[in-house]
Order: sequence, then structure tokens, then C-alpha cells
Amino acid sequence: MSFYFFGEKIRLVSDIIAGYLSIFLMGIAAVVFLTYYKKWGALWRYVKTTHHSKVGILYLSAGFAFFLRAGLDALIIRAQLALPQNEFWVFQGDKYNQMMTTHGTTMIFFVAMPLIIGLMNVAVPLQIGARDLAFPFLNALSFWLFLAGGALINISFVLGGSPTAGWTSYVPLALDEFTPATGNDYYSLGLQVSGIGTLLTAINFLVTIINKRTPGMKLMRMPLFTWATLVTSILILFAFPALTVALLLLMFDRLYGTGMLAADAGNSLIWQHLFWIFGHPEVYILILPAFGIFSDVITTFAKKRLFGYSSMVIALVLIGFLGFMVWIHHMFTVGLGPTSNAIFAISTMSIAVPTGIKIFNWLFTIRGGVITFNTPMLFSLGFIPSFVIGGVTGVMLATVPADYQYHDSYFVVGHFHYVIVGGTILGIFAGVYYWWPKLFGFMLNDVLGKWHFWTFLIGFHITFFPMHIMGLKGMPRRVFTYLPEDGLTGLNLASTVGAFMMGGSMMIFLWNIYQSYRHSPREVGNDPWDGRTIEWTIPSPPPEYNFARLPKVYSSDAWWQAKKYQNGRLEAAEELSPIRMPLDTAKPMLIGMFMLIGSFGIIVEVWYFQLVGLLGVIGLMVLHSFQDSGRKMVTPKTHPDEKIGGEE
Amino acid sequence: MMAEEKIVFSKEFTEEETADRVLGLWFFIGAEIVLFGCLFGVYLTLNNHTVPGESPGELFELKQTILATFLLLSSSFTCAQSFLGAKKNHYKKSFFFLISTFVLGAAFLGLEAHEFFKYVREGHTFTSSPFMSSFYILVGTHGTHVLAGCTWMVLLLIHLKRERITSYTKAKLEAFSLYWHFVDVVWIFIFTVVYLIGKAGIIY
Amino acid sequence: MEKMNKFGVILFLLLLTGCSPAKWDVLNPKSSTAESQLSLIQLSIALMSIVLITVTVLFTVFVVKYRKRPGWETETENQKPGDKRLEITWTLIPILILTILAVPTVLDTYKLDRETKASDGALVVKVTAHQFWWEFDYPEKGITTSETLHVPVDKKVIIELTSEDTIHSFWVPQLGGKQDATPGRKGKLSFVPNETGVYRGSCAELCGPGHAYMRFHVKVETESEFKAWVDGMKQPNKTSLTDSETKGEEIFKGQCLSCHGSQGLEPKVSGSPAPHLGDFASQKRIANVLPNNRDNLKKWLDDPRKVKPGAKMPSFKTDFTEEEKEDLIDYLMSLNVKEGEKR
Ligand code: HEA
Ligand code: HEA
Ligand code: HEC
Ligand code: CUA
Ligand SMILES: [Cu+2]
Repeated sequence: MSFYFFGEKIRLVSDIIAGYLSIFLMGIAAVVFLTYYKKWGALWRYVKTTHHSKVGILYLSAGFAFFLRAGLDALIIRAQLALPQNEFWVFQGDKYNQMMTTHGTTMIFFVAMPLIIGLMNVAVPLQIGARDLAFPFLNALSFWLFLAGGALINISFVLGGSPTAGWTSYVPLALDEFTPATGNDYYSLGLQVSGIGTLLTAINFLVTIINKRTPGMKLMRMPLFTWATLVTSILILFAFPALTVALLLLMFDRLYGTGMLAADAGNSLIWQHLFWIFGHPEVYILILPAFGIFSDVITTFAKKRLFGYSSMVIALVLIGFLGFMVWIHHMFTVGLGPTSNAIFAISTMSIAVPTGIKIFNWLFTIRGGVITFNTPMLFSLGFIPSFVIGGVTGVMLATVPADYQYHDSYFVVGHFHYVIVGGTILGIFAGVYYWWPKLFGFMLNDVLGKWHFWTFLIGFHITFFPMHIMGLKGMPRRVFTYLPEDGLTGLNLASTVGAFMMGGSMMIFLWNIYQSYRHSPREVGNDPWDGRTIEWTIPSPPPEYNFARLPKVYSSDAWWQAKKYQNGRLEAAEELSPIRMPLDTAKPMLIGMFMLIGSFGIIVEVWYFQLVGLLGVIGLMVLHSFQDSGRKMVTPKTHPDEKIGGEE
Repeated sequence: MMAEEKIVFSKEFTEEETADRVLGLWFFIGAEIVLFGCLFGVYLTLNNHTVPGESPGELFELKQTILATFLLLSSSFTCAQSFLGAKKNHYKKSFFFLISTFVLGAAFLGLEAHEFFKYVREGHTFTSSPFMSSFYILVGTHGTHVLAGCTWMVLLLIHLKRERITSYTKAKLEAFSLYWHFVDVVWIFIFTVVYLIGKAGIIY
Repeated sequence: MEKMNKFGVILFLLLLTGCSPAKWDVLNPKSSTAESQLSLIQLSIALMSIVLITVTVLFTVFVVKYRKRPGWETETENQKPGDKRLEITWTLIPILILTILAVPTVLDTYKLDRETKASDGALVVKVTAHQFWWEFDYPEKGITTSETLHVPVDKKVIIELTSEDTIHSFWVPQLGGKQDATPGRKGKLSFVPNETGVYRGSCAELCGPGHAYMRFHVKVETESEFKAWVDGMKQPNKTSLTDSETKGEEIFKGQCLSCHGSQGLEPKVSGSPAPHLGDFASQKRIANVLPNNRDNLKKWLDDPRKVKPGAKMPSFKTDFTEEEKEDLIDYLMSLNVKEGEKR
């Protein structure tokens, strides 16, 4: 069966029907849930919010939902690859490429990025003693743009097919000559829209961290997660415009008949260069915040000051800086000549040095500490050896002649899942468990947390370790199958088993959230982990202005110092006085919606959608220009849990 | 724990809010530099991917471009004057110079539109060759920035008219003038790299 | 605990695959190029093992030793902010390790590049990648083949790569690392195979739905076998065809020759739109997917895209009678270059 939808022929086959059905069922479930528990009001408040911790929660929930989607894709990939010449459902050929591309794109842009940005939103203002980000309206707008982009990529599956050219979307394959279906249009528009949101977020965090620190919070006193956010934001600022340009060219070539990236008329390598000028910094955008989280978590649970604070900061900055000069290592086999290959090999290897400094500093932070193994700490400890495996395979990839063997094989797939899952994802879980009580006022269950951790870690190694061997046995990546005589069956089967174990592990995590929501004791106080940084001086969850009075800070680890030497209180930097807070508004959500409509109009080439989108966005921005001085004056009250100023 | 809340529309920005905006705009410009840097890179790569009958040297008309450059450079001057006026709380001066900036910007856009139409009439369209496409994208992106600046100026003029010179309008004007100067600088690069060098045929 | 895990995993895998690293393609090189790549891989694995073991040992010792035990204080007095000497140590040692790795990396990069440029009597093969098959052109010998690249042993081969459509990548793990086949560009790769045998190759760059099956083989044979094969390719292998084969050939000339070449028959269209079938019967699999036998060949002719996603060959399901099909298959199955036994 097939029908037409805005000129696109949509064929209904079992997987598409399943797609519609699941959208429909989830929609019904959401409506029933919201009505039954009377949560429409709460939802509306979240839609209108501009407050950093609520926007953070939005980012985290959306990111997590996308994680389930992209994880499901991963399970489909693994099911298809479990056996040689397997025919799992419909996922061969193009359908497999759809899954693989959606998995990679979603995981990078709509899982890892938003989860990290969500944690930044939650923690950074609290860590530096700010009441909100510098531009709350912009913050909400960033979120809704990200969601609009994510929605585009996700609906493509049921509206004519997902993108198929891999998350790197190399041309000429990604041009309409070879992939005429709309999938890659969704890719270019979806990433463009969400990319704008990401860029705005970066500007927001940069200004916040530079301008909004509480008195005494010098740069070199900031917690490492905040430092990582600062460096990451700079990376985003300089990396994303390259992607913007690349996507612009792709869009014009696909939709408006130009030939800039075509092999004959134009130059296909432009795409690869632009993509990797963005793409390599992007992977450090994913890992640096995780590094920050580990630094904070490890110091807290080892009960020790960070070893080598300033070298940790320098290493962050160095990694960020070097990250911009290594992009050719993704293009060693293109044939750019031995000189450029050699130079970029060396610059790539040099990143191991600052990363090594960080690893050893963490190890020596642990040394001589008093380690407790709460869930956040377990995730951080699991990270160290796992990430080092991924890191050293990265260095192996940088040796050019050897990379001629590894490139685009499962060895590379092994490498990047070790650094991304073993680094970024473990970091995100550590951060979620760590800041959860601050955010919601109750803890996640530690026993279930440990189950989650161990099943995840073991599943992770079973899934991804065999991939290195598959690579060495000659398995290229992005293949939907292999032959029985390739000798890859056992390894692939093991990998599939591991992947389903990780799936089970995620179920434990979901169960943990539900259980803890139902049964965990409330009233965790301000400081459930015996923390060291100033987010633990205020009540959990914090009032909307965070700090009734801003604290004055005299050192890094200020809260730990205060507990040890100042009988557990920080000095206040100001008197209680009314605070200017941003107004709630639905405009960011509406702008996101109009962006969605407009982009959809571009993809299906329907002019009135484009017009509605354009006018909607411009109209709302003009409207905002006349309302942007609106503020809420809130009179703060001190709270018994709050440890700033005065004596108890 | 209910705190007292009051909604206000103060039409004043605190010093902090002003500083945030200006700093934010600086970072935005940082990103824009990378954006235009990449567009220049694309243009220079595709510069010789032409079809018969077109080359930068034959196509471009320097006279008109020099006029456009002159207009945009003057608008940078008037924009600075407008901000200076605002700084000295000189409403009339500020308003007048902002209007002049707008007129100059709009005239620049007019010239650019004229140039584009001319090329299209001569058959050098957006899709005729990768060279033309990259040219339209580079120059067009800059033009879009000018257009956005003009729209922004309309809003600023309304604000200025209604609120006169306050910390609020001053903050907006400061952010705008930064942006406008940046757009101007980009044009100087376009003028040099695309038109002057293209005319001289050095790259070609 | 961590460590035990990993050992367990590795053991489990070795058991499961029941094979030793010596058999992994990349670690079992059969050419000069692959050997020099392997030595670099071995060096890097050795160096990286040092790093990994150092980190794992320190990690395990610290975690075990400083875990909070009953009766311990919750706070430690040891709040040392850092240690210059230690920090310099773990900056310098990695730099040293990386230098040891970087020097052969750079040297080999240049060496491999030089080798692709020095022709010294090498056999040059022009390889054109198509969605989703490989075309091998021997310009000096005037022959074209697909699926199996034949080269003589102990003689340098230079592969010149280009593509007709999307980007592909030429990879034969046992003979050397890959090089992209980019449309509009020329990639170069060279190796000196040092053992006869048949080696697997594949396309390593996503090029569309059929990417997984865009495979090929390289047959390294003795000089005389190679000569025989070249001669065999140049002329029809059979002086006389059977009846049905002759009928099949007629059908082939009518329907297939527009795209495919065959023994003694050149395709009507220039630019090779489809694989040359001159050596088809010696192939193990049809289009690298199904085992090469009559039933599967019928399946292929009926619906190529069902067998190989994205294949650019039309379906011939309704074009022939059963009988014609049998004749055509007879003909295709006779297309074997005489040079000894089948692979
Ligand atoms: C979080 C993401 C992340 C991180 C942190 C890294 C980190 C690194 N990556 Fe990775 N990489 C990816 C994500 C990431 N990568 C992705 C997604 C791809 C594939 C993209 C695609 O094609 O789809 C990729 C691909 C990729 C390639 C291209 C492979 C190919 O396609 O042919 C290369 C090549 O050089 C590379 C190298 C490195 C190196 C050298 C590091 C270094 O930063 C690692 C540094 C860390 C250590 C080395 C460990 C700790 C250090 C010590 C304990 C000190 C002592 C160490 C030594 C002396 C060695 N990566
Ligand atoms: C953040 C980044 C990230 C993460 C976390 C992951 C996580 C995983 N990835 Fe990967 N992956 C990429 C980024 C990532 N990936 C990228 C960039 C590519 C390259 C794409 C390309 O080549 O273009 C790739 C490619 C890739 C491949 C190679 C495909 C190919 O080359 O053909 C494979 C194969 O096994 C794979 C597997 C997995 C698995 C098993 C997980 C597991 O860790 C996933 C674990 C999570 C779950 C299992 C979710 C649990 C959910 C459920 C159980 C469903 C429940 C549902 C509801 C409640 C509705 N990924
Ligand atoms: C429009 C061009 C076209 C025509 C006509 C055509 N083919 Fe093909 N054929 C192809 C292409 C392209 C491939 C390669 C498919 C692939 O491997 O991706 C192919 C592959 C094959 C193969 C498998 C080759 C291999 O390497 O294993 C066989 C066998 C074959 N064709 C037989 C035939 C026969 C018999 C006919 C006539 C009845 C025919 N073809 C007509 C284009 C064509
Ligand atoms: Cu050709 Cu992949
Ligand atoms: Cu990289």
C-alpha cells in the first residue's frame, strides 16, 4: 500500500506501520498519563519556562528519549548483524543504511549533545553562583530549536525514509543524484536547525561563565565541570559554523540544483574538509564536559582535592586547541599526499599528552583518598580503563600507514564507541546520578544504580571489544551483512549479545527512576554527597533564584573549605534584596515550531509552509524585541538548608 | 517557601545586562568569522569551476562595487555617530544618524540586488556553475546580513522613538553597532577577495 | 574487578571464535605493503600495551588500597594539590613514547607514497569502482575483468583508482591498506604480493545500498599461470559451443551485450556499465552474494535487486521463456577461462 504526502510517495510496509503505530500509541499514552495525573499544567509550565534548571530537565528528558530511539536502532543493527547473511525484518540494504545513519546522527547530535548541555544547564549556574544563564530566553530558544531539529530527523523515517548516507553524509553519495529520496534533506535541515540552537547555547554559557560568577569566583577557582563547559563552548562556537556552511551547500545542491559538491562540476572534497573541520572538534565537544564531570565526581567521592588543578585546566585548553588541527586524520585514505598525512598524524598523536595528564591526575587524586563507591563514582571509575582503551586505539589510528588498514573498518567503530560510550555516556550517567538529588530533592536508588552500572559496563565491553578484532579480520563498517566464510560470526554474535545486555541495563535505569520516584525518601538536604563545590550549599531542589544571597568565595573547593574551617557556612556577598528574574514565555517554543514548519516546507518544497515558517519566526522575534525588558521581581527568602551567610 | 513575585516592564537594563549583551555579540561575531571564513574557502576552491563565457574578470563591474563599498563604509561611520550620540544622551543626533545608516544600508542592498539581477539577465544564474553558486552564496550571505541589520534598525528606530535614550536603547544600540561594523569589515574582504582580485585575475 | 572483567571478555571471545590472531587478515600479511603496515601495528600495540598496563595497574592498586574500609575516617588529611615532578614525568614519558611511534609512522608514510610513484616495471592495473562492483583494466594487456583481480606473485603491482559514481574504497587486508576511489580523482596504491593464493577484498566506503556486497578477490598466481590467464582472456576459450550454449550466446548478444562484455564479445556501450563476464563461471558467488549455481543464477536474472540491494541491473523475469533461460544459463556457465581447476 502506498499514498502521497506532499508529493512524497510513502510506501506502507511493516516497519513503517510499526513506526506509525508506536508514534500513535506513545501519543495516546502521553495524553492518558497527563490527563490521569493532571499534569497538563505542569507540562505547560515546562513549555513556557526559561529557567536554567527546568530547561536542563527538558534537555535531559528529550535527550534520553532520543537515546531510547537511537538505542533501539542500535539493537536493530545488532540483530541484523548477529548472523551472516541474516535477514532481520526489512533491515537490509537501504533500510539498514537508514538505521545506521539515524543511529549515528541521533546519538551524536540528539543524545550526547543535549544530555551534556542539559547537565551544563543544571549544574553550571549553581557551580559559579549565578541565578540563571545570561540569556534565559535564548536558552529556552536553543532547546526548542534542538527539539525541532531532532523531530525532523526522527519523523523522516515514516515520511519517505530516513537519511541513508551515514552520519558523515559524504558527497556525492548524499547528493540527489544517488540518494533521490528525501532522507538526506531531513539530515541537512534537521542538523541546521538544531545547530543554530547549539551555537546559541554556547554563546549563552560563554557569557554566563565570564560575566556571571559570584564574587570571589575567579576563573582558577571554578569547578572543573564549569571549566570544561567554558572550553567546550568555545569549541562549539568555532566548529559549528563550518557545519552550517557544509549543510548549506548540501541543501542548495540537493534542493536547488547547484553543483558545488558534485564530483564532475564542483568539488566533493569540500564537504569532507568542512565536515571534519567541524567533526573532529565535535568529538571533543562530547568528551570534555564528561572529563569535567569525572573531575568533580572523583574529588567528591575520593574526599580529596583535585590533583594538579592548574594542569587539568591547561590540559583542557590544550585539547580544545589541538582539536582544531587534526581533522585530516579522518581523511588519510583520500590521497592528500604524504606531507599532509604526516603532519596531521603528529598533531593527532600529540593530543594523547594532555589527555594523559588528565588520566594520571585523576589516578593520583584517587591515591591517598578515602573512596566510597556510590553509583556516580562507579561510573567515573569504570570510565578510566575503558576510555584509555579507546584513547590508545585512537593513537593507533593516527599512525598513517596502519590507518590505511583500520580506516572505515570495525576497528574504527570499536575505537569511537570506546571513547564515546566509555567516556561521554558513562560521564553522563555519572553526572545524572550525581546531580539528580540536587535537581529533584531525592536520590536515585544506589543498589539499582550499581546493577545498572555493572550490566552496562560488562555489556559495553562485550559489545565493543570484539569490534576491534572484526576490523582486523577485514570487516568494513556500514555493511548490512557479511558472508559465512568471513569467520566473523562468533564475534558478531558476541557483540549482539552485549548490545542486548546494554538494552537490559537501560531498563534497570528506567526502573530505578520509577522506583526512586515512588519510594526514595524526600528531604535529602542541601548536601547528600558531602560535596565540595558551592552547588551543595543551597536547598535541593534549589529555589528558582538559586541563591537567596550570593556567596562569597575564597578558594576552589569553597564549600569543602567552609565545612572544614568555617563551621559549614559560606559568607554572603550581598543583602537579601529583590531579584530580577526572567519571565515565562511560550515564544521560544513557538519559534521552534515555526522553524519546524518552515524546514518541513523546504524539504517537501511547499512554499506556503516555508512562508508560514519564515513569517512566524520573524514575527515572534519582532514581538520579543518589544517584550525583552520584562522581568519578575522576586523577593528571596532564606531557607534552613541554605548555608550562605550568618550563623545557624 | 513561596517568595513574593512582581512582574515589571522596566525598559531599563542594568549595567550587567548591557555588558552581557555586548559580550554575547562579540562571541556571535566570533562564530560569524568562522562562517565567513568557510564561505571564502568554498569560494576560492570553486572559483575556477566556471562554464564557458564567465570568469570573475569578465563578469564583475568594479565601478558599481566601489560605490557600494563607499555606501557601506559611510554607513559604518554614521552608525558610530549614532552610538556616540546615544552615549552622550543626544537623542536627535542618535536618531538622525541611525536613519542615515538605514538609508545607506538600504541603498547598498539596492545596488546588490541590481547587480544580481544584471548577472541573472546575462544568464549567470545561481545554478549556472559552481563558481556562480559559490559567489551568490558568499555575497548573498553577506547581503542577508545587511538585510537583517536593516530590519534590526527599523526595530531600533521604533524603540528609540518610543523610549528615547535609556540604558535599554543604549544597550541595543551598542550591540547593533558592533554587528554593523562587523558586517562592514566582511564586505571589505569580499570587495578585495572577490571583486578586486577577481578583476585583476590573480586567482584565476 | 574491572580487570577481571576484561580478561574474562577476551577469553570468552577467543573461545567463541576458536581462532588465533595469526589468522586475522590484517595480522597475516601476504605483501610488502601489508607487512610494513603490520610492523607498525605491532609496534603501536606494544607501546599502547605499556600505556594500558601502566594505567590499569595504577588504577587497580589505588582503587583497592584506598577504598574506604570500616573504621576509616571519612576525611583524609592528604589534600595535596599536585606534584611538579610527577606531572613532568607523565608529560615527558608519553612524549617519548609518541616520538618512538611517530618516527616510523612518518618514514613509512613517505615510503609507501614513493612506492606508488616509482613504476620500475610494475604491473599497472586501472581499477574503476562502480555501484556495486569493481572493474579491473589491464591497459598494457588490453584486457578487462571484474570480480577477480589476477596478479603475478613477487612482482610489483600499482593500482590506479577512480570511480564512476560515488566514493568507494579499495581494501585487500592481506595485501595492504586501503585507498579511496573518488570520482574525478586518481588514487594510487601499490604492493608486491609474496605468496600465491586468493585474498578477499571489499569496498570500505559507504557507497549505497549494495555496499556490503561490493566485494572482490585478488588471485595471486605464478608468472606462468598469470600469462595463461591473460591469454585465455583474450580469446574465446571454446572453439565449439554446444547447441544450447550457442542459443544462449545469441540471447546474450541480444539482451545482455548492451552492458556486459563476455569472452570474445565487447559490450556495445563504452564506459563499461556492467561487469565483464568473461570469467564468470570461475566465480564462487554471483555478484558476491549467492553461491554460483544454476538455481541462484535464475534467481539473479529474475530479480537482481532482491539478491543484491541496489544492483543496477534490470530484472529479466518476464523476458525469457524457461527454455531460453536454461540456454542462457548454460552459456554463462561455460564462461570459464581455461587455466586449470576452478577456484
Ligand atoms: C568522544 C569522542 C572521541 C574521542 C575523545 C576521540 C579521541 C581520539 N581519537 Fe577518535 N574518533 C571518534 C571519537 C573520538 N575520538 C569518532 C566518532 C570517530 C569516527 C568518526 C567516523 O568516521 O564516523 C573517530 C575516529 C578517529 C580517527 C579516524 C579513523 C579513521 O576513520 O580512519 C582517528 C585517527 O587518527 C582518531 C584518533 C583519535 C585520537 C588520537 C584520540 C585521542 O584524543 C585519544 C587520547 C587519549 C589517550 C591516548 C588515552 C589516555 C592517555 C594516556 C594514558 C597517556 C599516555 C598515552 C600515550 C603515550 C599514547 N579517531
Ligand atoms: C553517542 C554516541 C553513540 C552511542 C551511545 C552508541 C551506542 C551504541 N552503538 Fe553506535 N554509533 C555511533 C554513535 C553511538 N553509538 C556513531 C556515530 C556511529 C557511526 C554511524 C555511521 O557509520 O554513520 C555508530 C555506529 C554503530 C555501529 C556500526 C554500524 C555500521 O557501521 O554498520 C554499531 C554496530 O554494532 C553500533 C552499535 C551501538 C550499540 C550496540 C550501542 C549501545 O551502546 C546502545 C545502548 C542503548 C540501548 C540498547 C538503548 C536501550 C533502549 C531500549 C532497550 C529500547 C526501549 C524502547 C522503549 C522504551 C521505547 N553503532
Ligand atoms: C543495464 C545494464 C545491464 C544489462 C542489460 C544486463 N546486466 Fe547483468 N549486470 C549489470 C550490472 C550493473 C551488474 C553488477 C551488479 C552488481 O554487482 O552490483 C550486473 C551483474 C550481472 C551478473 C553477476 C556478475 C558477477 O560479477 O557476479 C550476471 C551473471 C549478469 N549480470 C548477467 C546478465 C545477463 C545474463 C544479462 C542479460 C539477460 C544481463 N546481465 C543484462 C547490468 C546489466
Ligand atoms: Cu563501494 Cu562501498
Ligand atoms: Cu577525529
